[in-house]
Amino acid sequence: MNIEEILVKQFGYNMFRPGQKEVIESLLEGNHTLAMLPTGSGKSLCYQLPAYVLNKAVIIVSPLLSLMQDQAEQLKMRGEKSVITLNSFLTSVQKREAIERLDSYRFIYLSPEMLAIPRIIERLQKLEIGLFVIDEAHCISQWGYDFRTDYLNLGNIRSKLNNPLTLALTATATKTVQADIKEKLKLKKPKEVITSVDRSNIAYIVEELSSYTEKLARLKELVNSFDGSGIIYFSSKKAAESVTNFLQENGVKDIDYYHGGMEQEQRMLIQQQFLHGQLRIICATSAFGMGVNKNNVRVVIHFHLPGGMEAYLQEIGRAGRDGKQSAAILLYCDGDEGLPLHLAEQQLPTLYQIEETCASLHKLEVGIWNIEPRQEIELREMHALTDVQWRWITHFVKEFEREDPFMITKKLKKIANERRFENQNKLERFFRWVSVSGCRRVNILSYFDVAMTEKNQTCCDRCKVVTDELLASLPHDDLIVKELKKTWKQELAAILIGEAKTNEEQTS
Amino acid sequence: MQNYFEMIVLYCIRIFNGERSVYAILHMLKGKKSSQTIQDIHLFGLTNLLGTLPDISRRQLEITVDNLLQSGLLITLPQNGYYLLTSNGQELLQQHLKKYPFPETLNGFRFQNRTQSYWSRLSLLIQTISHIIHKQNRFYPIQRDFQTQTWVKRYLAQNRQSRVEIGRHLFDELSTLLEKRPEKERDVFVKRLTGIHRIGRTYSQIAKELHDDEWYMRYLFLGTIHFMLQQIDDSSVQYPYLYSIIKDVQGNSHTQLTNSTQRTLKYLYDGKSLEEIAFIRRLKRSTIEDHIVELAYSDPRFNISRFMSPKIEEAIRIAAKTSRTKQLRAVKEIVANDEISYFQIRLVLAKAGDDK
Repeated sequence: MNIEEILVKQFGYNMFRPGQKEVIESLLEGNHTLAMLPTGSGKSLCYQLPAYVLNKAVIIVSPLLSLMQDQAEQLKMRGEKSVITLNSFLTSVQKREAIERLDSYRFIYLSPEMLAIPRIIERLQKLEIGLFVIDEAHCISQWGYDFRTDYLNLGNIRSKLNNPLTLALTATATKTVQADIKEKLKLKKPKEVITSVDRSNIAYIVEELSSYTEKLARLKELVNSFDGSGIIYFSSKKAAESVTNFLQENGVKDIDYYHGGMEQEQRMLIQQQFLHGQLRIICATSAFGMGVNKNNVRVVIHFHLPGGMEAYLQEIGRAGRDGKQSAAILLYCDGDEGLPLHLAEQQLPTLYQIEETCASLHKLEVGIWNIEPRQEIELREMHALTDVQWRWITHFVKEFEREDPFMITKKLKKIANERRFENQNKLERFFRWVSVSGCRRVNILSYFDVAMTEKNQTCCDRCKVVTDELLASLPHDDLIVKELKKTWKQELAAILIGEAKTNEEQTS
Repeated sequence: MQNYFEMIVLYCIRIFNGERSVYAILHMLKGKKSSQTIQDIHLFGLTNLLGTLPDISRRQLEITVDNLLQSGLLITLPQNGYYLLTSNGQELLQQHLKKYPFPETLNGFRFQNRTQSYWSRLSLLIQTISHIIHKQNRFYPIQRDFQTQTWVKRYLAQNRQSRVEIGRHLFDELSTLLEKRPEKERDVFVKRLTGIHRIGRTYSQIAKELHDDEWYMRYLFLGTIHFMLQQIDDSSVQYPYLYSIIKDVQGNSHTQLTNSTQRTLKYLYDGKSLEEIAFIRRLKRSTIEDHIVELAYSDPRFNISRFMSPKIEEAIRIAAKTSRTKQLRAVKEIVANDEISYFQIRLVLAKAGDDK
């Protein structure tokens, strides 16, 4: 079977989307490949399809548990049974069983911290690895917008696994980040498939309002001016909740919120309701979206500024995956730039925290590798460190452990300063985009050093797109209104016995 | 009061009556498996609430207590910083309890271990059956937990009868049980289910639909689940399908014990004395005493006569009746006998808890 046939048979698509075929062919020719494909363009197909040609295990490293699970569920939905997700949420018995049977899986999803476990590496070394995939590869770069310290070791792990055929996937990486990915993963001269980050079917709009109240009022107007699905992004859980309540009280139906502070089961219900068209609009933090495979999201609205251009493109990329006209609207009000700056600041330890924590760590007798949970709690409390800050510090102390304590502290402070500068820089550059006078699309592309290829008539507010006309012209989607049956018993029967039976009971 | 959670906290503070810190409430609601918590729930009569809010955070509780203080419903005791209800607090609590009583079926002590597995298995099984009988074999599972998914797969592989039949039986058993519950509980339960034509509702959505409190919805739902588990326990023959969902999950009194206590129990069966067990296990005597008190609470048949004479037991029993508080020191002062230990008093109080 050639790859087109596999595409039809295994995945039910008739055509590749831009970039997919190039990546797959490059891999099947045996090239390590770095691929940048826009969010929502079917990145996962790039490693899923080759699995059926290579007939060896495909290992996928993924930064987020929920993303991993979503992708595994989607594969299973297509009838693929040999999928496993290895993560810290499995019990030790389940983990052992899975590791023993590892050679029987076609797709092995792993979180990076699983790759720090020697037993798992040993097992993987015995495996014939067809393809080693690093999803969201920009996480490896300190200059990327979503840096994760546990991604940094992936280069070493690749060597330990005898340099298997590797695919580094990302949606948003500037030239600097792309270079960093290649270096950190020790990929020598990989084939690069860089498609445009531009999503031509998404129109970009920025609206400036003069106060918070005005922003709320405008948001209400906006959600009432289109009838398809939408996501509204907020930078705090509290705002997502309170704006949801505001909109509900003002008569907006089929809307609810989603954030990381909710229980897993409640979160899953909201996500599924949205996928099934039971909810039209989700008010969410950035925790929502990765792996949410909904084709017909028409509008993504930002109520707050995102952390930078990369984050923004990731989030608006959830609109219009069906290729139809969609819209990304950013609501800006003077002073909004303070919030993301503050949030970025909280991710990093302060210089004082670095000094003090390094001093404590140096005094610790057990050494950096053997810190007990109890000691971790003590240290974190003593220096008021968040989980992210703690992992950040310990990661770099481990990285530089051979050097003397003075140098370690100095290096950490230097890195923290650079990061801080970089975060500010990202925000400033984004902010400049908000107030830019030229075409927004051209400016996004130049951020990633890419040239404009095709231009959509409906481009951006700077190219004379009017929001209300745009929203009115968006394709219509029929929301399925799911009325509950009259009584609890009829409802229960509809679920467990079926419609025919229920009607019979209603008439009797 | 802003919500039902505040009422629960107020209720617990009244019950603890200035004798426990708010963290005892936290441990209790989260269902911490420690001897202290197990003793507390029996001593104060909070067996129904144990482990009913496993996801509650320390911070949430602290904020709530702060709100209650601000609204003048609590006062702080100067000697230990614990709390008591003001008369306003008492009155408000009384009103709310009358309007929103805890479901009488609530029994965290007996069912907390099984509540989560029962619900996640049941809800995923229902979603699966609902899809299969409507000829749809592919869907996103509403429960993401690997164990639950594996369980449902195995269940369906082992039960070969037609899926339509399983659906019919589940319907019959569930509706029989729900018929015995109040209107509102049935509604909440059914709204939470996911089937072919719709995804289940969240607590906050149900609360909005029924114009009620989100926390209260949780408790109504737990009340239904505990009622079902109790009925399944007591007459498994009547509910064979529901029973088969939960039969492999242990829920008897011994698994309620902490692991350490179970080991102490084994040595007691072997006839070892308290001192011997402490020596063998290299634990403090007081720790072993905690275990034994926990055993006395958990098992009504546990015999305490090997730890004291009938005369001492009787003296403590009388003193406990005379004393109004649950404080050991008060009881000890009344018995006024240096040979009687706190350990012995705790044991007698543990047994007396059953007489209530």
